[in-house]
Amino acid sequence: MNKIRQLTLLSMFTTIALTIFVLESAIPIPIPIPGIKLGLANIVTLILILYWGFKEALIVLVMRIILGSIFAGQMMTFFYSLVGGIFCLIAMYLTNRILKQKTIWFTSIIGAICHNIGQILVALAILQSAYVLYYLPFLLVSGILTGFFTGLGAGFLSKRFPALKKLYTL
Amino acid sequence: MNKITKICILITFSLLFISLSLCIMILFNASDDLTAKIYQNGELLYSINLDEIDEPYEIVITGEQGESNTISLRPGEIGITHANCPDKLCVNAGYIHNKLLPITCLPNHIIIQIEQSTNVNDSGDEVDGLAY
Repeated sequence: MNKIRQLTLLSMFTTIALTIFVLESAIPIPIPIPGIKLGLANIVTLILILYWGFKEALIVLVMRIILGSIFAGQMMTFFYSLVGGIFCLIAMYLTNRILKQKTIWFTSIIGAICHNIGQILVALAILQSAYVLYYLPFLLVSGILTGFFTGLGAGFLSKRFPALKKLYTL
Repeated sequence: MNKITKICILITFSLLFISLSLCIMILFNASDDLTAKIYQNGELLYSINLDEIDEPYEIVITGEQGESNTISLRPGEIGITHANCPDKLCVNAGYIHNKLLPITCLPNHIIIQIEQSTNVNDSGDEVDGLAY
């Protein structure tokens, strides 16, 4: 793949992920537990892991989180998103390798669970209180449910857009 | 449906079951003689015995960068009623009355945690004869 094409594609995917991220942050969540959200931007990460590569997914993820924190969030959420996102990425990459690109929804669930574990670890480090661990079961329930649906979303997307499957050959 | 899909479904449901039962345990565990501890940046600011509150009152906690949280106390309960953080998660958490779920205000670094009161007479901090 030539450099310009690669740069353009990476920026395009970052833009898509960022748009989803900013739109999602405008959706109010009726549950008073910090850290719960839909995680729709994870669809982009998942697609990139499935059809392109780990490095590209990491670039888009980190760019999305940096820009997303500037556009939509407070800087405090930056560390939570970053550590959670990287945990999620590594977990999804490994799960995807084991499952050989099948059962995408399960890969997504594993990713969501690791995202929550990463968030809780950051909260433990920042707040210096073991009591934040009590949030973990609630985050896990929400992570499993939202992870399932974002995974299904990524699955449908790859069915409707067969061109995505040839990303790495461009 | 092949074998891998079945295993995935099984793992998903068992994880969901485990975390749901942990949630239920956390939500339905209540006890009495409780002390609310208010921490800012990991530092203990207030320690209030919730059973000794007769009249509701409020405490205002301010931070270095202009953060401000109003904490309200009622007999047996504590909650944040006003905060100038953007997300208001701490306010939406309402009043808490058991030691399981703390109220956390991440932007303002405040944690309100309810703990079991320790008896004042046998002070745990000092070294007693047994420790020697």
